[in-house]
Amino acid sequence: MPIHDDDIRSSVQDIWASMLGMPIEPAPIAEVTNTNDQIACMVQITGHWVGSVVLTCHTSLAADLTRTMFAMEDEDPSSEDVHDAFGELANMVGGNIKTVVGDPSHLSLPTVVDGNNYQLHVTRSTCTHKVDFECQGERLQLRIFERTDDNMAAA
Amino acid sequence: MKILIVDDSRAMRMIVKRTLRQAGYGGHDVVEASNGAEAFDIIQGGGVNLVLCDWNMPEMSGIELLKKLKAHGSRVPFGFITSEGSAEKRAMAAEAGALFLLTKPFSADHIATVFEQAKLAS
Repeated sequence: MPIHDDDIRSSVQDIWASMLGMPIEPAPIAEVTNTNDQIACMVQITGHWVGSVVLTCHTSLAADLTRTMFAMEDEDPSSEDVHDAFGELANMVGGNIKTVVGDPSHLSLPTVVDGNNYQLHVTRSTCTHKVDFECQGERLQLRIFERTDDNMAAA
Repeated sequence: MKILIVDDSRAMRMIVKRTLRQAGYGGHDVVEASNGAEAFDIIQGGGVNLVLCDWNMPEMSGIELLKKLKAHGSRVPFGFITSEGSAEKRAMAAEAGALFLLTKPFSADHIATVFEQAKLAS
């Protein structure tokens, strides 16, 4: 089944509402050129459709999401907690997209990257979907990369 | 009632606990495990009345845990709370003996429904 941007938007908004009780609104697409203090989380789907779902945002938003998820007050969450919380959000988004692309398919555990001036390349893949959101005044980006190497899409 | 929450994500274990409270089941004894292997030992130790388990976990996945429990004769009510909501995974879960498969994200109402299902089965 094809993946539609509107389905991605409603899926993310549903996850944010259910798991965080937090609004998140669609935003115009923009490319982040400065990756300082950004965090990215990738989950991969393998099966008859092969691709990756990547969520990216500023570390300050990831910290806010973590505080909400762990019901923290004003304290700074540990990087381990941020990776866990952001990874779980990406896992849920990936799980919803996996359901859309259909069986047979497998969802990987999340991989989280953060820091300064990094570049994340999903090799032999094409970015097929770009969906941006605004949450707490910060941008959150969702990108879907579809594997273009036919040999990998035969599982 | 003793409820075992199995998930490699501490955040998700916390969300499940919070949702249990919101659904009116806050008075139950809740224990946690971060993977299937750890959960197996806790369940074999006795006293667990309901297992709420993730599917994808390092060490031992949720479905591996359920199959191992069944192979050891366990009858503990077992349900999945997972991002894996496909028809294939639902069929695998049911075939292995799971009572339910609840997909993330979930609400307090969803938790209440499966909790009542589990109480009837126990």
